[in-house]
Amino acid sequence: MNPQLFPIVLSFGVATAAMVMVTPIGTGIAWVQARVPHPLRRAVDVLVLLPIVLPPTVIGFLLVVLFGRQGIFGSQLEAILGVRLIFTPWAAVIASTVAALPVMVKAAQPAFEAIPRELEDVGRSLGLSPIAVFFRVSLPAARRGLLAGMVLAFARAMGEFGGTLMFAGNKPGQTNTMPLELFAAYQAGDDARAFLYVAILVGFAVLVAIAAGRLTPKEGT
Amino acid sequence: MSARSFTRGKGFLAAAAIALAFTACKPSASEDAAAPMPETTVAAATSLRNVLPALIARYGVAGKISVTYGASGDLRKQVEGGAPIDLVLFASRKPVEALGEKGLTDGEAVRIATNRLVLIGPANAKPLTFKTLDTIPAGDHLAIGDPGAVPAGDYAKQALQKLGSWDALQDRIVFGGDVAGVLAYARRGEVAGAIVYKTETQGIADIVVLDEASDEYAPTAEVIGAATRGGTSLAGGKAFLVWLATPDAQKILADAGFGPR
Amino acid sequence: MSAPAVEASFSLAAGGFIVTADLALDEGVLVLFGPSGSGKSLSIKALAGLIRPERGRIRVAGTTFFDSDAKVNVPAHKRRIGYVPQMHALFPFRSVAENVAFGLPRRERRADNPTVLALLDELGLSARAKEQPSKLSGGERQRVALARALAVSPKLLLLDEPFSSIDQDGREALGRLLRATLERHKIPAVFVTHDPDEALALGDRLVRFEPGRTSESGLPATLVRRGQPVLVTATLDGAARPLDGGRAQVSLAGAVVEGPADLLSPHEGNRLVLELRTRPRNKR
Repeated sequence: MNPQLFPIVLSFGVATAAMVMVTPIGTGIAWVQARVPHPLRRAVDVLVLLPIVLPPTVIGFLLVVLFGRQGIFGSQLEAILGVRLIFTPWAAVIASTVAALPVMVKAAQPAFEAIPRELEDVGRSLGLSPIAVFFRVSLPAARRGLLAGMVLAFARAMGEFGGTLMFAGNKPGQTNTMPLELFAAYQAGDDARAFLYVAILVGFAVLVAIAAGRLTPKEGT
Repeated sequence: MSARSFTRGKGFLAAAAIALAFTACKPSASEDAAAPMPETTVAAATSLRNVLPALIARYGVAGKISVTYGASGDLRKQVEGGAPIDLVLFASRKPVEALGEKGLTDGEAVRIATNRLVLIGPANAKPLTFKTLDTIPAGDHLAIGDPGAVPAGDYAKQALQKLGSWDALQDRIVFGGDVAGVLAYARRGEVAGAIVYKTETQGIADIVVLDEASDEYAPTAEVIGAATRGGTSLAGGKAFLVWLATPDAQKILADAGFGPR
Repeated sequence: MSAPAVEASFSLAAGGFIVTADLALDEGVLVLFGPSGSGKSLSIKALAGLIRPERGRIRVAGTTFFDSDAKVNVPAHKRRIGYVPQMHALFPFRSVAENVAFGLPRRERRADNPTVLALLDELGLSARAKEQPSKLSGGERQRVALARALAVSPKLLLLDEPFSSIDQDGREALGRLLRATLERHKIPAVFVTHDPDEALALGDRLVRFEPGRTSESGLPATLVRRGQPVLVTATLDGAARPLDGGRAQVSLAGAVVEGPADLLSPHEGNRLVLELRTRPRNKR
């Protein structure tokens, strides 16, 4: 594939994979936080917020320390399953997933909390099991917020840089997402190439901002 | 009353204006009085981070020098962007010449030292040489600096191209943002091998040197310096650059593993 | 003779206070009557299985749904008890007909299902079948909620102040419609209200709630006036004059009226107006 095209394709692929992973995990966490009373609620809130608050280099560092070949989990993954994550596109997916997860939860949790309890009560009275209530009442009722979360998570995944640089590394033709390639072009003094990715990323960000704005519930809805 | 508070307000403003004038005057007054040399700012390649402090200490009382480190490509961009730098010390000629073409340097570009490329691996690495790099198994990696920004990476690429293994290794090469990053990959054991400067290996315990690059395929790695305008002390930059060619400075560089000018 | 519709005696804790309730209904409509915050809504949620009491027993139509001693607690979705809340009853992401069909098994869950169509027709909603809930008036929405609850043939229907967000005229019409529908489908109901007129109009039996507990139960007419009858003793002044519609008028002399003090404070100067209603009872 054209080396200029590859980062674009890779970025969209990584962001899509991250969104696919983040959506069920983030929705599940948001649901539990919104509707299931449990003693660890505060702790989970803080944990989920961490990737937004921490510098990306910290996240990258932790990913390498945990999942690198010599890492606590990485070494086991390699020994038992023969799976290696560092310097692969999957490392980029994982870094993006970690970065995008809080974005999804922060959008989904208020969406679930905003569902009137009466709707879920009525659902149960009509014979829906708790799981059926979740899928047939809660998800549809929250769908705008969930969709907004997915869009924002996708965008955040696209923009992931620090963690990706450290964990996936810069492997041209393999792990060089647009932000990485942009940085490399900048370092090499190739502004024309840098501007290509800047234009795509800015254009994409504008679309995301418009979409998210449309999807976020308006006042009083 | 309103009249009084207005006067008070006016008075306060006048007092503030006078105080401001004083503070504005003071620094130049003290400057004229003591007249020490303004700080000299050096932008140096990451590969110099271990030797420059010793050099500056030896340079001693002659002037105050502060250093910013980075990949030569990054630093070049910063100077082009107007960062106040008096002297650049880069790990290859190209970025220095690029600055020269933009009229940002003052005077000649001077070679102050040379370096050699070595192939290193983590402490438990399997044997590997520059000529046998293609035997790295798929899924394992060789780390080099990003050739676009890191001279060490550019040198490594040239060497691998001369050896004919550059294309074959494409699926196993990972770029580091600067030589320190490349070294870190090797020290952490995340790669099978890494190409860095010989000077990077001094005193590092958790790596082994697997092979040293030979002149038959490896280009000479140079450390090139040039004074730059746009800083606060061009004279300071030039003076330090001149001193780096003296035997005192050259001895320190040699002790650190650098080759002769 | 079938089992009583409701036999329940329980106490539950919620938000820091305790509600103790004794509820009984053979057939027809049981009204839970009392001021706001006295635990009526919580009690019907306990009947529905949406809240779990601390102690007690709940039996509906002969089936035990909750028994703290026997450690029985049937989850809400298995009780077949319909629930119409005060507000926010309809699923905003479904049309009217789809709302009504919501509780039906998947294969029958279609807007053109005959049960759905029949209920929509019965409640005067056929014209609105394809609309979104947001386009409906408050009264229409509650009718849809009623149809939806009935579509799954519940053994008991629970209504929590369903008309409180609807204007006065609409309320009476809805009340009549509700009674007629319940009788037609032969479904017993528990109805929560703090409005005495509503309680009188809809209830066959009434349970009075004071904060945290049920106090008396009995016939609405008697209880709604605070359990004390109004006693009028007077001499008839002349014969009763018949009026239209089976009603008559008679003048009294030397009347002595005994009853609750607040009922008897005079209005409009020296005039005292007493309104005593009886509600027509349907015997089955």
